[in-house]
Parts: sequence; C-alpha cells; structure tokens
Amino acid sequence: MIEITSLYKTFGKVHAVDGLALTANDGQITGLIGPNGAGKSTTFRIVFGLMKPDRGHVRVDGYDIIAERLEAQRRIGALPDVRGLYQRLTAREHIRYFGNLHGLTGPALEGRIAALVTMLEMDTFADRRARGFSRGQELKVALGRALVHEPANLILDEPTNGLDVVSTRAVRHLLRAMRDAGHCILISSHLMSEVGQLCDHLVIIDRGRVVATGSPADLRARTGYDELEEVFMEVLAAGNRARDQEAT
Amino acid sequence: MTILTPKGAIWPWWRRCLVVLDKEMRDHLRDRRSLSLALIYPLLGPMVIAMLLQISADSIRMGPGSRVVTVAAQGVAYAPQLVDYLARYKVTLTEGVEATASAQVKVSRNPVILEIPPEAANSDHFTVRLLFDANNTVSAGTVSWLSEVIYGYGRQVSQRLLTTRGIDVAVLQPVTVERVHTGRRLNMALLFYNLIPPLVVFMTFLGAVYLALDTTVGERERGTLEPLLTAPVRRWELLLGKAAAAFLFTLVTVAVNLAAFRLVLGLLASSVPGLEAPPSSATFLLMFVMALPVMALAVTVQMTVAAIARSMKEAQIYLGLLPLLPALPGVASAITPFAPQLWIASVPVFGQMVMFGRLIAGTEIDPLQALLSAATTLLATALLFRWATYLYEQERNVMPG
Repeated sequence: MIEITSLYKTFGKVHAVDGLALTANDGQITGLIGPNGAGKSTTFRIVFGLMKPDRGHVRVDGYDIIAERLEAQRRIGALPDVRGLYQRLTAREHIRYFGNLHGLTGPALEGRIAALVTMLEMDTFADRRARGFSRGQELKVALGRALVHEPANLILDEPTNGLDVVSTRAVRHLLRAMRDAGHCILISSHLMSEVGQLCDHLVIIDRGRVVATGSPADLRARTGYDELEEVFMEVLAAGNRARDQEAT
Repeated sequence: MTILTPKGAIWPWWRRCLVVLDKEMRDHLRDRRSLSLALIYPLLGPMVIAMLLQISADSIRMGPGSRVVTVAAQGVAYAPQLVDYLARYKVTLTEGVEATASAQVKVSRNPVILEIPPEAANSDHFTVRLLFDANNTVSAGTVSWLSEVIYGYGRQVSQRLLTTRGIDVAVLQPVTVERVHTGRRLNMALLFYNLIPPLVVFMTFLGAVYLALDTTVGERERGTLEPLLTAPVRRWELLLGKAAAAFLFTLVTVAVNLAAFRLVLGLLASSVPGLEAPPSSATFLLMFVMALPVMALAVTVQMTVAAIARSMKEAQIYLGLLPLLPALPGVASAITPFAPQLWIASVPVFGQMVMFGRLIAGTEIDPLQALLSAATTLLATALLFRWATYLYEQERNVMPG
C-alpha cells in the first residue's frame, strides 16, 4: 500500500506538488491522471525515493520513503517515464542487474527472468544488446526490470506508451493478474480508455493538488458524463472555477 | 489482506557494490573508447620517449670528444697548429665558407662555422669566432665542445710561452678544479627517463576517465541513472561500485604504461650502444605499488568532477585538462629534481612523483616518506569520496535536465 500525505515540493517559485494526498490500496489499480505539469512525475519521483519532498510523507507498506528508503524501495517496482537502457547490455542482462540489486541470484533469478521474457514476449530480443531497440522493446525491458523482484507495489509511468496492440493487451492482462494477486498498482497514463479499462480507483490532479478522486463509475456519476475524457475535462474545469472563486 | 513480502535477500553493502562493479565491468569491457584509453593510450608515452631517444641516439651513443665532429671553417691555412690540435680531438675542419658576411647567411646550412683570422698566421694572440644558432641544441653542444678544445689549445700555447720565459706554468692557474661525478653514469637517456613519472601520473588520471564520465554524468544524461536510483542501494554503494570499476581500469592502464616503458626502453637500450638502460623491472613494480593510492585519488577526483558538471560535454572539458594539472609539477621536477623532504612527501600525487623521480635516478627513497605520501593520498581520497557521495545525494546532481 502506498500512502501519500500532505506532500509539497517546489522548484524555485513553481509549486510542483502542493499538498497532495492519496492512498493506493493493495489489490487495486490506482490511476494518477492529470494534464501536463500537474505534478505526476514529481510525485512519482518522490515515491521512488529519487527526490525529497519539502513537506509531507510517503509510506510504502508502512515504510517512510525518506527515513527507511531502502526498505521502501525493496517493496517498489518502478517504471519511471525515462526508460533509460544501457546500450551495451542485453535485455536479459538488464533484468538480471536489477534482480541482483534487489538481492536475487541463482536459479530463482534465472527462472524469474525466463518467465518475464516469455510473459513480456521478449524471446526474439532478450539476448540482443539494447542499442537500436524500438520504444516498445525498451518499455518491455524496463517493465521486466521493474517486475523482476515481484514487488508488492508497482508504480508505472505510462506503462503501455509505445507498445503495439498485442503487447498492450499483454501488459494490461499482467497488471490485472498482479492486482488480483494482491499487489498495489499505481499508474499514470494519458490514455483515458486505458485508465477506464484498468483502474479501480482514479486520482485526478492539477497544479500539484488532488481535484477529484473515486472509482471511474463514481466520477462518471458525479459529473454526469459517460466518456472518461469528458469527466476529466469537467473535473479540471470545476477545479479552475473553484480556484478562481478562491482568488476573488 | 496480507502484505506481500519482498522476494530478494538483504545483502551486505559490499555485495551490492560488487553487483554494480560487475555490471560496469561487463558494460565497459564492451566499449571501444574505454578499452582504447586503458590499453592503447598507455603505449603512446613510452613510444614517444623511445622515438626521441632514437632520434638523439647519435648524441647519446657517444659523449663529446668520442665522435668525429666536422665543422665548416674559414682561414684554416692561417693556423695549421690549431688545426692539428683540433684533429687530435676528432674535430675536422672543412674549408668552403667563402666570406665572413656570407658565413652568417650560411649558418643555417653549416650549423657551426669557425672563423680563423689572418693574424693567426703571424701571432700566438688571436681571436677565433664561432658562428652558430644557439636555438639549435645540437649546434650548441658542438660549440660547447669546440670551445673547450680551443681553450685547451690556448692553455697549451700559454704554457709554451711561459716556459720559454722561464716562468712556472703553475703561476697561470694557481687553483684548479677537479670534478668528481658520484651519480650514475652521465647519459642523456636519463633526461628522458626523468619524464617517466609525470607521464605515468598523466596516464593515471586519464586511464579511466571515460568510464568515470560514462557511469556518472553519462548515466544522468542518458536517463539510466533515474531507474537505477529506484533500486534499494545506497548512493555511496553505487558510487563505490562504479569507482571500483574505474579503479580497475586505471590499474590496467598504469600497469600497461609501466610495462611498456620498461619493455620499449629496455629493447632500445639493448640495441643502442652507450644508451643507459632504463630502471629495473623491480623499480617499475615498486612504482606501481606506490601509484595505487594515486589511482584511487584519480578515480575519486574524476567522479567528483563528473558530479559537478551539468553535462557530458562540460565534464569532458574539465576532465580533459585534469591529467595535466598533477603532471605539470612532475615535468618541472624532471628538469630540476626536488630534494626529498617530508612536506613534499605529504603532498598527494606530487610526493609520489618526486619519489618516482628518485627511483628512476637510482637513488634510495625513505620508506617513512613513502608511507606518509600513501597515507595523505588515501586520506585525501576518503575526504573527496565523502564529498562526492554528498554530491550524488543532491537531487540536482542526479536528476536529468
């Protein structure tokens, strides 16, 4: 479970995260959505343990990401928006490296890598060096890297961006299976159709704040729109109106 | 719902460092740039030194007076006794310079021209002129030797004149100087060998520079650092693993460099008579051991500079100049060797370089000073590593952009 309470982060005069709070429960896929610059990537970076918040807390299965960073990170499978592959390592070596960093080794690790290669349909390029990989192939390797230690909590930034239809379906199927196995999954996506299909719970943020939260069905009912894209636009507009009223 | 427990074991810090080290070695052993810096570049210094020695072989093979020196001359007929005297010292004069004025012009064709004046035909008192270009080191050496021989002739003439007047020759030179050289056999090769310490230090700071850049600022720029930092590894553990890989590459670089110096210069010395042999393999091995703390410092400096740099290009500029900084005092030391003092030994890198110079010159080094230089260098490395870790804990230094 991931709990974020009163999170603040500024860069100079920009309030990237402004009092954000959310809970992503186990056995649920939580979608964090918002327009560009809403603070999704900064929030994820704080949850990953890459950045320190100015204020507020992030707990992963009860472990504070600042005070107990390593314990929290052991429980996270991270897919940052930057996939970042080593050009001279093969896909399999990438996954093995991260498995080793998580304390996995030997037949257990090799078995897990083989399973991921099959699951993510990486057989044709698993032993090829990463130089020249397509975006889809890069994403698969990055996903394999995030999943190798079977983390209790998966945090994925745009998990299907760049994948073809077949691979997208495979990833969605995988995420649902992990949810059903009790994993906590927090994703961000710009694809409203994906969010609608995958997420059990949505958190819509704008300018670093949560502007709406609930299940897709709740949000549809609250706004009176069937299309999630319309729901999203309405929630953002309502947030802007509220801010304008506050200002006046 | 029960919380899923993490699958991996909690390894000790050194095992996590080894994982990072293993990855960096695997990655960079596949990289031509890293390999060429470690294996090809260290051969360049020894080859350049060997080439310079080969070019200077004539001068080195035979010291002044042991080879035939041919000098263009004017007025040879005026002083046959001087010509005979010079011939005894293997100085052959060739006529062919037409006039004094044109001789100036022909200085470039004839590196040294000896002008004997007509009054030499009738008198023991005359002045000869040596025309040469002082910028040409070969000419300067010939002129120095020639002057010494002509002064010798002058002393012989004055002795003859004094003797014919019944005066004791000793009156002419009441005090004489006897120079006793107690060092190794004087040889021009030693001047070149003195350049070995700064060149070794240069390579120490250059050998793993690409690896150090690629694993730090390069990772940040390519976006591989961000996923890496999501793994449960402390920043200093990551840095230590990467530094260990850079250290191993530096180790290989320095080993290749020293072995090449010993091998190439040894081969040259055995093929050129009169050329002083380079120091023994044991001396080079001792230098290698003494260079170990310098290698650690070099790697830490590289990683620290890479942390401060905002981009790979910026880091390349800094680290391109870096090897020159510690090597330059070594060049000065090669020309004017520093006396072994405790404070010099305590200066990281410079202390080792001065001691390398003494080892090359075949003089003893004080073990206490060697230990002191190792201790201060390792202390500097530890302090710098602590600072580098602090830099890598700052998000502005690890986040792209």
